[in-house]
Amino acid sequence: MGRNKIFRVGAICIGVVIVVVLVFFARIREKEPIVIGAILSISGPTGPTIEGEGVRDGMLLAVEEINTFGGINGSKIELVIEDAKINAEIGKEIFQNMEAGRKPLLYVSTHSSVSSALAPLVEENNVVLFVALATDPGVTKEKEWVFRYWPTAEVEMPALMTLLKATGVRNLGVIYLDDEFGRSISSGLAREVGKIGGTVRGEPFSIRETDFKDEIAELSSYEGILGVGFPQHVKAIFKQLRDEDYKGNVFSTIAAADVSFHTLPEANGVYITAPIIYNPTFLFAQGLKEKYEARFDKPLTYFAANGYDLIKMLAALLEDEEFSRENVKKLLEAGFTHPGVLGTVDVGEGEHDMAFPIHPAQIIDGTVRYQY
Amino acid sequence: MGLSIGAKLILTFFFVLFVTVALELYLLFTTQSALRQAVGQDSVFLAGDTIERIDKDIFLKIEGIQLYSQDVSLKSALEESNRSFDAMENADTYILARDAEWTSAPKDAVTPFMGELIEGSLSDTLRQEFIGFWDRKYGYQIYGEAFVTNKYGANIAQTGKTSDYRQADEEWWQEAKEKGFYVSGFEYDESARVWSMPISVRVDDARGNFLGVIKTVPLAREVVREVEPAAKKYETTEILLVTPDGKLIYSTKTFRAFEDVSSKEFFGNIKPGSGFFIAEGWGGKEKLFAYAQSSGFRNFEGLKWILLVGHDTAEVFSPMRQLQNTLAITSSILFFILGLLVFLLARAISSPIRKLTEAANYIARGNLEVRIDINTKDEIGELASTFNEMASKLRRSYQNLEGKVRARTKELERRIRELDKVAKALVRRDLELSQVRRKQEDQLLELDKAAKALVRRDLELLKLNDELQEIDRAKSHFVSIAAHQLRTPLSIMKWTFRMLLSGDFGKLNDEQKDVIQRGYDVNEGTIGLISDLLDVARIESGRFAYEFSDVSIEEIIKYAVEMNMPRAKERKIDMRAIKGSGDKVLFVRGDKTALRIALQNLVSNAINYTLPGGEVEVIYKKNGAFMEVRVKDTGVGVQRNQMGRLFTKFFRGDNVMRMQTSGTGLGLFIAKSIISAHNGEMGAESEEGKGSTFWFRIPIK
Repeated sequence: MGRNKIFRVGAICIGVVIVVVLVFFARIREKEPIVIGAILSISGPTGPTIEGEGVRDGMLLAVEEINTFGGINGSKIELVIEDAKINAEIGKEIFQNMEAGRKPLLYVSTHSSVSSALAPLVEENNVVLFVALATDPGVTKEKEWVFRYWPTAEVEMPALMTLLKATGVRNLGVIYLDDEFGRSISSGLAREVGKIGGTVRGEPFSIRETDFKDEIAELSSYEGILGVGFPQHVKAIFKQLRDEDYKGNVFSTIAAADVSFHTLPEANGVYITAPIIYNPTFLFAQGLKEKYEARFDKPLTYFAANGYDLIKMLAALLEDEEFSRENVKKLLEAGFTHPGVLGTVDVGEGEHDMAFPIHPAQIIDGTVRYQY
Repeated sequence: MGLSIGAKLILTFFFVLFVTVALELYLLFTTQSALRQAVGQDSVFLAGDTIERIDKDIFLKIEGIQLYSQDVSLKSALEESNRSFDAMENADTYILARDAEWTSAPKDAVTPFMGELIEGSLSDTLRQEFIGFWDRKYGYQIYGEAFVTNKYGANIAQTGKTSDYRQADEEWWQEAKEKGFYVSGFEYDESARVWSMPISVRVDDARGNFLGVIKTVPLAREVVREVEPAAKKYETTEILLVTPDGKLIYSTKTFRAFEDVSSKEFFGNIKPGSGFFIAEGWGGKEKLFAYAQSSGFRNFEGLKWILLVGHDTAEVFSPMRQLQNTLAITSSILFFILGLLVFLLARAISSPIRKLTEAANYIARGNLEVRIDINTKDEIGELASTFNEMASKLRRSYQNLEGKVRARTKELERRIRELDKVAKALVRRDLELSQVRRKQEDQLLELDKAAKALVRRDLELLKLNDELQEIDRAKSHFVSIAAHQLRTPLSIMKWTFRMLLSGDFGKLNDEQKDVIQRGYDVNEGTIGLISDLLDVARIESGRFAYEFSDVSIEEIIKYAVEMNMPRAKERKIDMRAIKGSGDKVLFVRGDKTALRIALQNLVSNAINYTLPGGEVEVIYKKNGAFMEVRVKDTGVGVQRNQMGRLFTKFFRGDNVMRMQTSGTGLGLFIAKSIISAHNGEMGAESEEGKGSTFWFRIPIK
């Protein structure tokens, strides 16, 4: 064997050894990713939405955690996020583009308006739409492929009733966003309060409304006023109630449980329904809080926790399972228990609405205190 | 040929590589084993501790209910209820009727009878003591509901709507009544709509009489979750609670209650007691599972649940993975660098050696111009430098040798060419010689003929010579006789003319004198001619009698000069004798008369052929063993083409002839003959128009 040949063979051997060692240790096992199409409303007519951003960030954190430890069945999750801007038409266009392009395994959407618009499309395309931040009961009603992970008006009701009972409020004014959720809350409370001999009067407003003085003036004589709407609406209602020097008890739904309310002066003393996440004794969310704050440099919101739980729930359901649209639907319909950071969620077989527990609470001096 | 240095280096590298990889793998294996053991044991402890805490928590709740069972108002309410039921004619019938009414009501409906129970004061107490207390304590629900039955098993108070009214037929009720308390395990409570772990406690009066049963419905998952945070050791930590027959009753991840996991790999690894193992969990992920079994707390014997704590090995062993990756990357980089270095080193060593070898081969094949381009500062560079130097020297040496060989070859070739030429010339010469020989033979033949003719001619010539000699001798004899016979009258005539001129016969007038004088001169000339002729005749006939004696050359010179002085003066010629400086009076052995004749002839010629105003010098000096006499004049000289005939008889130069001087042309012949007879020699140097020098030298005595 010539010397040159020896050198060549030596060089090739060295190269082969290095490649083998690298491959051996790196254990490269790349599989096709699981694509989740996230049609989130990160912004809206009045700018960025804290709830949309929260859901997005929570989903991102969950995906990062899952992917860090190998993904699901060896496949990484790929989150394709698009901003629907709380606009049904934009949402539909995004859906059509995604279907024509990446064709995700399933979709996640936020907000009732967009999700309601997407529902017929997913039904038509036989793909699961997992909805968050959507309170409209109609989103899942009579839908095969639409699932919700968000409390509806029905879930809000017991906690609200507990608060009304605890405060002794028997006649209640409701200033509500004129959507399905607002109407459901108003009518539901009217029904439940009526059972205990009280009265409820509702004053609806449109999504672009910012001035609630008229509604407040109409309801100023009520023992309590409940504000129902998106956070920005509720904040404005609280502010204007204080400005009008309203003396009664102020209530709101889970929309006011966000951390952005906790330190608002006008929110101090307000009764709300809240997820357990702000309870310092609820230790299960502590780890997520720390990770979230370290990752995004902002406080953990229950929107983010909802997004986080949603992905974790899906990931757990898909373990050892076939990645097909039909199977995702089947798994979600099979019923399960999810011990999430927003509390344990029990989902019965065939149920399409799943909600984390919400509790009666009060904002006092910048903190949420749970009331029973 | 064995392995090259490069190959040896590469083999060494692979050996080192093999050993290092083996050591690394051994290190990783042992470290991973140690880590696995440590994490496993820690997890076993964690699992044991967690299940113990669950047991303890359940026991504490039992204890809390037992404590509440001693509540006076509770007992009082039960005693009152029991008394009223005791008072009934048929309590069981009443209970059955109420139960039928209860269960036939719509699911979510609350009948007035139910409402009375739910809104009763004892129910409020239950809400405060259980649900409210824990809500306040933890901020979230621990108990789903609580209710109390009397000794007949009928509800007397409840925090919410129960599924039925009659409980006496329920296992929990009977067990609690019999044993004091009962924990029914993990189940779905239809009425509370929660997964629960109902706890039932018997209530007795102060005397130990059975009063009834209080049942609480703690949210089972929350009981377990209370201990969950402490057990979440890793990001991927998963806690599973399974029944001994493999039913999943709780998981920290999304799960389906009572899912059968007995066929799962991890369940098959569970053995009595506690332990740990690595098995596949959900999603194909490898997990390190540790497990422990419930053994109860104090008088609570536990629910025989098995608690598993599982961590993804990817996370648990991530330090190992990192170590592996770090080792792999650093090792790869190191091996790559080392391999590269070895490769380069091998090349660095082999390449120069190969170059050296190739260069040596070139040199071996005779190419001494080859040089190795290695400029390293190491031993190889030094070797290459030495090699180049050696090659240079070899080249120079070879060039020298080659130069010599070339020169020698050239010389050889030149000689060969010359030899060739010579050979050719020889051949040619041989041919020529052959021709010449043939010619010579021809010539010889001719010569032979000619020789024979010559011989004949010689004979004829000899005969003729003899005849001529005879004639010459006769002529000389005649001349001698004639001259001798003429001398006398001429002498008489001479003396006569002299006497006439001297006036002995009377005074003569000028014309007479002139005529007489011319006669005298002619007579003198004729006497001289006769004398010369006589001398020549004697010389040629060998009868010139020399009488040798010691003769003073100076005297001879002096005589000649004095004899010719008058003539010289007459011709206005400056004549003098010059003696060589330091020379004494010199003597030669000779004939005084003859020498006088010879010198007289020379001096006389000099005066005759020198124009007036000229000079004649007679120089004599010793020259070695000879006496040399030179007669030098500034006369007309001798034409160069006539120098050869200078000493022949009767010779007179053309220029001399034009001077119309008298002379016989015999003087020089006589002089030379005399000098030759004295064993001397004579010669002349002359340049026409400038003068002549006649010299002779004769041996000194």
